[in-house]
Amino acid sequence: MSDCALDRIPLDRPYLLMLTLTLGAAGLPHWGNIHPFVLGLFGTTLLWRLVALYRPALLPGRWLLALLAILGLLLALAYTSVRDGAHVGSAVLVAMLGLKLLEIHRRRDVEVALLLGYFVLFTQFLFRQDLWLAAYVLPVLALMVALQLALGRIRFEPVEALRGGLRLLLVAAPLAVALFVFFPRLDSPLWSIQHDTGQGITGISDHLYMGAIGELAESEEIAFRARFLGEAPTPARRYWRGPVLWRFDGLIWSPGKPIPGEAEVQFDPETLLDYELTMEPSGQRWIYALDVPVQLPADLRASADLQVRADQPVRSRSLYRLGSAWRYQVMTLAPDQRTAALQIPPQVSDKVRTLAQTLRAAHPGDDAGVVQAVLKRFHEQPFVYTLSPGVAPGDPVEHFLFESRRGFCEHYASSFALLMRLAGIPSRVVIGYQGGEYNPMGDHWIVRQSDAHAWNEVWLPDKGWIRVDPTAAVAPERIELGMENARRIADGRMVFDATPPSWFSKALRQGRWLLDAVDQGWYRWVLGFSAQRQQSLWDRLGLERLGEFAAAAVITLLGVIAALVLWLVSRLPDRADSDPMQQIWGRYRRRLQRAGLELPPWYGPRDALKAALARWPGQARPLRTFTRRYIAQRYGPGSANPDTRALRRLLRQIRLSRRNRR
Amino acid sequence: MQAAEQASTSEQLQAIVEALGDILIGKRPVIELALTCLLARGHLLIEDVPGVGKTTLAHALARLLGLDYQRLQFTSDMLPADILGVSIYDREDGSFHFHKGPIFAQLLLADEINRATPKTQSALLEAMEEQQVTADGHTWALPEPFFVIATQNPLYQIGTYPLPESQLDRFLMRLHIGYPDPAAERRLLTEGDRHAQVERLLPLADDATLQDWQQQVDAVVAAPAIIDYVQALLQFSREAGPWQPGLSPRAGLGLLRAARAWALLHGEAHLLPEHVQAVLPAVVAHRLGEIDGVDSARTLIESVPIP
Repeated sequence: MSDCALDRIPLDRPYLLMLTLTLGAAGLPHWGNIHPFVLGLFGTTLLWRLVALYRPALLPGRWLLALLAILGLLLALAYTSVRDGAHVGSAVLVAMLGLKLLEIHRRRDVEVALLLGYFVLFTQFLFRQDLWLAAYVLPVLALMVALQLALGRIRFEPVEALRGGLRLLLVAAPLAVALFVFFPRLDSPLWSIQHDTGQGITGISDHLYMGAIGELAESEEIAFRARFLGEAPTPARRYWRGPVLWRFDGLIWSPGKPIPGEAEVQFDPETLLDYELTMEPSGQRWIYALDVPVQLPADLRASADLQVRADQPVRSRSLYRLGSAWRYQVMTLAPDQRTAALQIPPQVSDKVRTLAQTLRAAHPGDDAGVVQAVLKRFHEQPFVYTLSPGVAPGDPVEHFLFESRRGFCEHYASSFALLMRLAGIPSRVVIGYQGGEYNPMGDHWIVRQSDAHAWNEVWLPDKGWIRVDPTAAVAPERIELGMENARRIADGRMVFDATPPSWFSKALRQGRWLLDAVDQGWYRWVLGFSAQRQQSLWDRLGLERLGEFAAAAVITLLGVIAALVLWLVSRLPDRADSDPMQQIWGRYRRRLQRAGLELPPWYGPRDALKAALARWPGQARPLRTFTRRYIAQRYGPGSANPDTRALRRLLRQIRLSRRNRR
Repeated sequence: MQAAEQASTSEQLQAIVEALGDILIGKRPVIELALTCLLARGHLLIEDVPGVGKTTLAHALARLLGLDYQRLQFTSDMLPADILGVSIYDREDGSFHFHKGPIFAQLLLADEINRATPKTQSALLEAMEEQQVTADGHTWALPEPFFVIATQNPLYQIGTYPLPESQLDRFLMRLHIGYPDPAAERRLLTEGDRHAQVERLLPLADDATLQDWQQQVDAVVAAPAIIDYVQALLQFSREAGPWQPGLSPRAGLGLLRAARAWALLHGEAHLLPEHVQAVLPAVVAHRLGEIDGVDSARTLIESVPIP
């Protein structure tokens, strides 16, 4: 548009005001992604621009702008680590966008600013991909398109421009959806090159000490969501399995040396549950499969003790589809496993040891009897399920079992496993989550950090590994009602009640569910639309039957047909073009243009002749003849019944060569 | 129309242009447009500083076309009757007699029209529009042809009443004469005052010829393509331009008529887009006004493609 008169028409103040505010809005979500200094420069330039709307004399000159550009570049480079391309790039873009706003003299400059703005807007998705950002970006995008449309008009009419912008986005939407669904996906999205978001994540670790889980009990943060494709299991079967701990040093449980091999799982296919897990970033590799996992996707592995792990730590939200069975039998107990499952810390208090021996003696050869005896002891003696067990002087297990009798799940699991081992029964500690809150709006279960739990598995000769949850013996409501119904009372004890909530908390919960469902839906349908899911969609559409080459051929063919249709539509004469004389004029103009003479659209036939003669003096005769005849047929007495054929012939007689250029 | 007749008309008109060119040196485009305006039966507004030849142009035009000429200097104390005429009681036959004012001329030069009060201005403009004067219940037709050249001084606007936009629309064209270029000015300085020269001019036409020419203007062919073009220009000025308001239908009619006159002046029997573009600045500039120093006419021309 540079040569056009429009470009010289100044932009009015409302336009520039809207432009400045819109571009400011485009840069705003970068808050937090780029250094405050760069953002400060951006904000300053925006303010400057706003003030200059009313005091144009304040606009910076060329040299000051150049200086500011260097300053912006230096700031961007100095306060971001160069290694991180996304951060540096966004910082530079934001800084330059602000400066370009100070350099708007003509309409062409606005085009540049808007282009920069689009980049700034879209680089935000390198850092976050949530629905809220998308919901913010779309209206800003519509405004920017509107501003770009308004650039082509002399008078700025915001409402009309906005309507045009929205219409354009709407028209583009089907294409965007088609590209989203059909454009081949990379296995990892482009932005997964990203930086570690794993910092400061609370969650389960693979070391269990007294109080470790208690620390999580009040965290509302979401660990993962699960969606059962069939029926959901009962609360008592919702054990989400995480790290399995074998080694106890008297204070801390840890995984110990990894044991190679695979678990042999026999399960009842009737009890198979199919579900999707959406893990929140944890920075760890465990995937909390339901006890016990029997079907895993290709990128997950189950170890010998049935821990499910991903190849890489989970650094961004990711979706897995798994199968678990709740009636199962795992008989595997390799010799190293037996050794590890019977390991006893070097220092064990005599009192604890004696207790174990007494129980063993009471049930000779009956391991199940020992298990029941311990659980009975937990149930009958005044043990309390509490978040604040107090500080243990000396041996924590002895203190817990004989003195305080107050503890959270890790106290019970830890003591139970030690007692079992002392009694010669192979046992281990499993950490994970238990329960979860059902979100009826999203039809999925939300498992929070507060649902973290520790339980045990013991190996019985005829049954194999079975799950024993000593916490259930003390506080069965923990399992039945779940942590979301837990309340902490004055002395730190947990009480559970499922009394119907007040209307207010009900409404609050409904709102939370809604937000959660929207968030999860966005992830499931948009962000989680991975290469595999795309493949499975194609399969469902029947493309897999064609084979790869045939599918590629079909897609190419469709593309070619679409392109052809578009081309034909673009060639379709519209109302004005259907005038044959106008077609001839258009053809003449195109011929001159191809030969290197671009005529402004407002040139009449005489002006066009003058320009053409100056360029191709050797063609004076045919050019003049054509022009004369054209004028006579178009504007003169012949206009009622023009002889287009003769004109076409004359047009063909004009020989324009690019070499004739003077 | 006969081509021969046309050619002769064009020759005669060009002779007038030549003769005027001797008086107003180096101002051929202005002269052609002024003549075009007259051929198109339009009134002309000349806006310029004093002393560039506004009066000379008007006077010379009147002489060459054989029109009777009146010059009227507008002042702030002028009343409508000073222009239109006044009824005076005649004691001898005991009745009122209308004494025609200076407006009853074929070519009226209304000098510094913006010095008069709006009341007086509108009396003139109404007469211009209706081609007649009404006083005391009687109507007197103005002579045929009737042509007003008004001048306006754009500077020193203190104590003046600039014409409102609605009245500007009554003038078909607004022209600026501008200072002569150095060569023309040297010639002017050498040869001295043009006043005597104007007095010596011999008429090259008479009012009958002029009316004949005006009829020939109406006969210039405007093909549908040209009508489309003019309509596109009008529509653009209303819908897409920065102008409030855009061009009126009257402006459109005037534009087409002026373009026809221009074509006749140049010996063409049919309108071309170039003719429209040639007269467009003079016809639309005072109607659209300037916005932020951008030439409205240029913008309009360059924004509308030729269909």
